[in-house]
Amino acid sequence: MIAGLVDTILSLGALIAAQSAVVLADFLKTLLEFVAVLLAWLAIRRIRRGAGATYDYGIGKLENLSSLAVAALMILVVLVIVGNAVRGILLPAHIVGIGVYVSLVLQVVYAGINGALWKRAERAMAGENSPIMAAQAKLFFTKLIGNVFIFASLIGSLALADYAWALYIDPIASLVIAGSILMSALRVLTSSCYDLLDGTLEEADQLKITRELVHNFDRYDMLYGVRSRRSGNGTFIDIFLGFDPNKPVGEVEREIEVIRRSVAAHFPNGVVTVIIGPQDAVAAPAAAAHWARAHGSTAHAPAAAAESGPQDARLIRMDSARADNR
Amino acid sequence: MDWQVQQLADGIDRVQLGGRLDSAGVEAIDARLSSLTATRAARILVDLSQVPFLASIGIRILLTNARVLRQRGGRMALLNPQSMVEEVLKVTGIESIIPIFHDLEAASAALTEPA
Repeated sequence: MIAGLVDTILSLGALIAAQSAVVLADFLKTLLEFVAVLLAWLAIRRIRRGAGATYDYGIGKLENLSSLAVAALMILVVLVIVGNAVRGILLPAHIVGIGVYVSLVLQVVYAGINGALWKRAERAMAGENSPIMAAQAKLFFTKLIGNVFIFASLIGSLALADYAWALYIDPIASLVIAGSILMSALRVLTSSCYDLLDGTLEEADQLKITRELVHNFDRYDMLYGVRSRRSGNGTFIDIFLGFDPNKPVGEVEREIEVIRRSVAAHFPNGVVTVIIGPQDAVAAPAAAAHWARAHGSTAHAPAAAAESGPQDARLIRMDSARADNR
Repeated sequence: MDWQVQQLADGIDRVQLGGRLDSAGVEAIDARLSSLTATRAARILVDLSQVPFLASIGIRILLTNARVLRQRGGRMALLNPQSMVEEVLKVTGIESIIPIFHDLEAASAALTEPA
């Protein structure tokens, strides 16, 4: 974060001493990165401190809310850059000022740093299959490309100053930077909304759950469905299963625990609940019929349990076991 | 999702699916597949040759029906999945429960052989 602050101050210095749309876009992009890191740090600090009694479940969403704030800021920055670029196209002018040269030096320095960090992450990634290292390598490579692009556009504007068309290099290059910020904003917006709206787990995670259900196939008698959601930084998985009504309660509880643990092993921050009975009688007619056959008049019970949440799962488990013993 | 049932010899129902077996696909076939598996000890051969995409929810519907069939003494097998689909099936290990075949005769023989 301190490095980001220094970077922002240096970029601001270059901006003040220069008349260039690219230098302005570079400053705004650097400022955005700093604000994003600052907000993420504040959110994580708040989450770690705990929610108290006011937000039992929702505090993790602070991370998503801070991302949404950054996305909104990104769109504002894009509008400023585009406005400035349009002005530059309508009223073309040569880029001037000592700040342009300061920015050139900064781009060379940052390109060297980002290039070294990219290579280091690439080497670390080759040694172990780490997603974090892969993400780091991608990040530093993208930053390196950005540095090279800004350097090339500034050099191009200076070197080709004798040509009239070269006046447009600066505003057009700033539009390219605006485009890259807009793409990032859309990605941030999409992923934040997905998490805020409790999106279902991704397919790769769904396959992990399915693999465990296949692995534990003989522990249950009916698979009614799986429901999952990602809320803030948490993962919630409900697995709806049916068991032989003649099975003793203790045995059913043991089977449930084995299944629950095997799925939970894939989701370190996840809450996995096994619920007895169908998830949705309308969407799963065969499952509902099976449930009705096994439990007679108590067919409505699981739907109520599913809506009530995990705490009721145990009740339903006990209820169906009591019914079985009768 | 396209759905066609063909009666083969030895009482095997060949279910030919066509299209993506994702949540929309599952919604389209759920009741129809259940009606085949929930009522008798059926022998179902699910032909996946025309299914280009299989989501986890699609695998679960196969798993659910395989479970119902097993309780009733029936059987299920999968026929000719496309390479990407077969890869996903193998990742989940489902072939230990629902065998996968690339040959109709072998699949029919496996479904009709005594338990």
